This record gives sequence, structure tokens and C-alpha cells, in this order.
Amino acid sequence: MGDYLQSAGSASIARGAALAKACEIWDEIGRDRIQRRALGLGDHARTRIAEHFGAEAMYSPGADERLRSPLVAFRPFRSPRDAWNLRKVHEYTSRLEAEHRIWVRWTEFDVPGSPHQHYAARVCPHVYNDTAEIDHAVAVMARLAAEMS
Amino acid sequence: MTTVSPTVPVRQGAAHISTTALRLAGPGEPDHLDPVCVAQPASAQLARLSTRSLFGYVGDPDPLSWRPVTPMADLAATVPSIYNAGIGASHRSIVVTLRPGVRWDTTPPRAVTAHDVVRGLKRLGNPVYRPAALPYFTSMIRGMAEFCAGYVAAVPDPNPSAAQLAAYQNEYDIAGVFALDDETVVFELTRPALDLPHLLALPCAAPAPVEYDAFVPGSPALRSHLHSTGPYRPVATESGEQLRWEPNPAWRAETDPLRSRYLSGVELTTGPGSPRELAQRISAGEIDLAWGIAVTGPSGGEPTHDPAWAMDPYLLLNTRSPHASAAVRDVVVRRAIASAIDHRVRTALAEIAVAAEPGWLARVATSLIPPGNDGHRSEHPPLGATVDRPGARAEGREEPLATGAGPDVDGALILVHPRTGIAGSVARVCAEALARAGIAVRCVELADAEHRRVLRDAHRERWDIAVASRHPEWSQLGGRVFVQPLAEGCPAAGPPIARALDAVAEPARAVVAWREAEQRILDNAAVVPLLFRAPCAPPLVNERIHGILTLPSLAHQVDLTALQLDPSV
Repeated sequence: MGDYLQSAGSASIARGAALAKACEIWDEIGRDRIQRRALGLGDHARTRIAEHFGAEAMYSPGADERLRSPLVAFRPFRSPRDAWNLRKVHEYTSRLEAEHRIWVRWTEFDVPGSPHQHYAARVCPHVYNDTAEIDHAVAVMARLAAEMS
Repeated sequence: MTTVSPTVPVRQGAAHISTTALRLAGPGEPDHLDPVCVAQPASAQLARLSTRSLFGYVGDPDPLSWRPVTPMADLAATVPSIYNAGIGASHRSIVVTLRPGVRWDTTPPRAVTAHDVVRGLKRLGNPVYRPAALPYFTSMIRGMAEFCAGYVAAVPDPNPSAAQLAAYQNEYDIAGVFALDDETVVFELTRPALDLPHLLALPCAAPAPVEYDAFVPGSPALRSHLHSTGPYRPVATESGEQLRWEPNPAWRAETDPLRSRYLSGVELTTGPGSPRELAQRISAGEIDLAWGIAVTGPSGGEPTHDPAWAMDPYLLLNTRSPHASAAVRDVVVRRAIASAIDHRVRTALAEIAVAAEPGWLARVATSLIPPGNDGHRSEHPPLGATVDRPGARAEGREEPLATGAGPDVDGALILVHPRTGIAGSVARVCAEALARAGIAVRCVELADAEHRRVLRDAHRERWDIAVASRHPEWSQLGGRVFVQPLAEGCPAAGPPIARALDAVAEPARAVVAWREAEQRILDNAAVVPLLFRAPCAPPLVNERIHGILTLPSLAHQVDLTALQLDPSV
């Protein structure tokens, strides 16, 4: 986490203090509670995304409890060929941030049988999100994906 | 011999360009003008006039500048990075967006597209003329090795037609190279690689227009139908005529950050000529610049910075030669040859090189990787010191031959060398050293183009030893450019090369692996290093020339696209 907050440059005492405070809050809430909430929000996001984009668009496994995670990767566009259109996926995530202030990442990975690596949009609800925000974000993502498809 | 041809003054943008053409002269012929076949630095110097790749370099008067050694965006709009979404999280996906406004000199001019880039890379695998740089691509781009193997299998005809070649290229894809649209190319790599932009700066990786499908790569017919993306374009000429380049009307300066155009044309006259004779012609104003041979001004002594050294020359041993009862296929014979070239021989060669070409430094070479590159070491373990694979003893690696005893060779070995430069002297000195070791050698001088051809077709040609040279295609992360291309015929070098490439994020581990690969190649004794050389003097030019910038990627030759001619001289 320290590397994430500041990976290079001069040491920032303010950031160090912020990290200490974040850890304090983390422990105050409790790691188990944070994990339960993140996983619950992840399940909610996965359900909403499957409703809007279809189960076939999902990359993140939901059936196996052992692989449960709040990370939800999915293919936003209708055309299967867009799965390896990094440029389009990048534009999608950039527009979500620039036009709607929704910050999601794109990621890539090998898919057995595919001629190319797939590029996916990936959402990750955090402890400070709520289900209404997720519903709103997924609806916006679906509208933008339909527009770009 | 004067080749000045007055032309009408032309204005390119805001800059006047000269009324006379640049006059080049030198021995030999360009090996090829078809970009996919361009391998020699002298040909790459000419290719830069008319060929643009995705990335490239630009000269700088400051010898310590990063610009001549760092790939910059050429046909690409930017150098891909994680900050511009050009490199994916795995570092194995690279997205290149093309610079808008770059056009082929077709009729009418047509935009260079991502499909042209893909076509250019597919041409690399053609079975007619495979560039020496191909191992870089097959070891880096996903599916490139399979595409190339499939190409050979699908087109077994040694003299295939253009239609046969185009059919394969248009039916099959390289799995890891594809066009997303007209402006975007995706490269999928087998492993993260820092030097992909260097590879994609090579002339052989330049885009190819669809018109090239009608021609066999490197064929004389294509020479008259080449298309240009650079500031100049070749003028169709008959074989044996003076080669000429004229301004490319489709080129626009604002789309080319790496080149300029100040000349009304470029003319190359080929014919016999020693460095001394060419220097006299330059001083007399008959020509502007020598081509294909080092003609330098007064030596500046040892450079204050680390120069980009070349392995020039070295001996290449033909491990597939059927000549002399296939003697050189035997590692015992090869090691006897390598052992006969001792320090005294190399020192004599260095003295010859400095006397003949005083503008170039020469150092004795006992390794493949020159100073200033990752993996260089000044002291080497003896031959066979790192061989640990089964069968090494059975191959006779551990029985060095006594001086004068000589291995059992049926007749004299054939040592081929090019006509130009110091190659003839190198061949003679090496032949004498081998004779002292009991190995009879017959030297055969070849025209430069023929020498290049017989080296390329080693499996079909009856030669045993060749005088060759290797100039690095790029100057960063240098272990690879000296080791990988010389590993052909040495399977033992494969695993350490793979380890070195895998260690992209761990330079210290990569250095160890490059050194191991180097040692295995030296143990195989198919390559015998002789000298490292680097320039210590600027090229000699006619006084009317300005804007002299040299590029390490061109073996320190002049960037012709930067030259200006002073009309008052």
C-alpha cells in the first residue's frame, strides 16, 4: 500500500500520516467486515452486470465460491471481435471517467481458444460504495457500451 | 567522373532545397532496395531516403545525445507506454497508433495503413529472402515462428511465384500481429520486451503496400515498382545504371519528425575505388560523399564517450559446407581453426585495420559482445569451459590440437571474402595463420553482393570460412544484437538466449545468460571474433555539404535526409 501511495520521489510525511490513519480506520472497522461488505457489493455488481450485458459477457467466475472476489471483469461490447479491441476498451473506460466520473480499469488476459488476448472492463466496488451507486454505474456503463457497440 | 545534374530549384515547405543532387560514389552495389531485404548498413542508409518504419532514430551533433540511440515515433504517432494505453498490464500487448497524414507515393497518393504494417511483417517470413533479423521477431512476437514455418511448408518451391507467396500471406495471419482498424496495430508478445521499438525501427519491418503482392521480395521487377513513404523515392533504372532518388511528392515534412529534405535528388555511382581514391575525388569536388566504404577525415583519437562498437571483422565458419569432405561440419576442425587465430594474429589485424582506415579504432576481440554492451567481458574462459551438455566430449571438444599438427582435412578449405575494405588483408593474414597450424586455405575474393549472397545461402554454397562483419542494428541493451543473430547452427545457445530474453526486468540475470549464450557460440566455434571497431573521425565530405549527422543504427554513416548543399560552393 505504501508503494501504491507513493512509488517514487521524496518521502511525504503527510502521506505517511494518511497511511497510518487509513490503517487505523481499517482495523477499527475490522478486516472481516470490510471483506464481507466488499464481496457483497461485488456479488451485487456481478448480478447487475449480468442482467445488463448478459452472462456470456462475464469473465469473472461467480459459480465457484472459492474464487469469489469483488473484482468483476466483463466484455462490454456486443461484437466478439471487440474482445481484443484494446483501443475501444480503453476509450470506453476513458469516457466513463471523463464523462461520468466512473472509474473502472481495463485489463487483459489469455483466453483458451481465442486468437488474441482479451481486453475487459473491470469494476471493483469498494467498502465506501453502496448498492445504489453500483446500480447507477452499471446502468451508465450499459448505455455507453450500447452507444459504442 | 562528375554526376552533377542541374535541376529546377524546388521549395519544400519553407526551406529551399538544392539545385543539384547529392553525389555518392562507392564500390559494390546496394544489396537490395526492397526494405524487407535490407540488411547491410550501407543499404539501410539508402533505404532511409524512401522507407519509414514505425519507429526510428534521429541524428544529433552532440555525441552524448540520447536521440540517435533511442527509438522515436516515426510512422507511429507515439512510442507505446503504459501512460498512453500503448502497453497492457501484462506488458505483452503493445498497441501502436499510426501517425495521420503519411502517404505512399501511389497514384493517387494513399494513406499508410495498419494493414500495410501487418503485410510488411508477414513479408519477413517469405522463404525467398529471409532477413538476418528474423530471429528477433520469431522469438518475440506470438505466432511469428509458426507463421514463418508454415510459410516454408506451404511454399516449398525454391523459385516461387509472387502469386504463391501472396496467397499464403493473405490466407494466414501472424497470431500476434493484427490491425484493429486502418490506424491501429496490435502486437502480442511471447514475453515482455523492452526492445520491441528497436525491432520495429528496422527497415525490414517497414510497412508494405498491397502492390508488393505482385512481386517476389527482392526481385529485379520490384526494384522498378517500389513505393516510398520517405522524403525521396527511387527512380526506376535499368540494372547497371546509376541509381537515383528524386523528391517524393507524396511526402510532407509535417508528418515526418525524423527526416528533412534539402536536396533535389541523390545519385549513386558505383564502381571500383579505394578509400584513398574516393577521398581524392571528394577533395577534388567530383563527388560529395563516399558510399559503402569508410572514408573518414582526420582521426580525433580515442573518443571521450563510449562508442558503438561493431564486430568487424570476424570469421564465420560454414557448419553446413559439403566442401573438403564436410570438414568444417566437425567441431574439432572448427576449434582448430579458432585456436589458430591467436592474439598475435588479431594484433596484426588491428594494425592493418588502423593503417588502412585510420578514422576507425580497432581493438582485439575475443568475445562476441563489444565493450559498452550488456554482457561484455574482456577476459574469456577457454573454449569449452562452459560446455556441460552430454556428448560434448564425444564431439572432441576437449582435445586441443598442437600447433602445426593440423586436423585431418581433405584438401584446402575455401575462405571467401568481399572485395572492399580490409577484408582481403584479413583473409590473407588468417590464411597464413591457419597454414602455420597445418590447415591449408584457399582465399577467394568475391564482389560484395556475391559475398553477401553466398553467406546467405550457406547451405547451398561451397565455402568453408568467410570474412564477415556485424554492426549492431541498435545500441541499447546490446547483448542481444551480437549474440542472437550469431546463434544460428548452435542449438546449445538457445536455452540461455531464452533465459536472457525472459530476464527483461532483471538486467543482472540477463547479463549472466547472455554471457552463457556467447560462450556456447564460441565453444561451437562457428564464429571466430577478430576485431571490435568504432569510428573516431567524422566522415570525409565535400565542402559544400552541411548538416552532417551520423546514426549508430547505420553503422555511423551519414543520415542522407539531413544533408544540405551550400549553393555558393
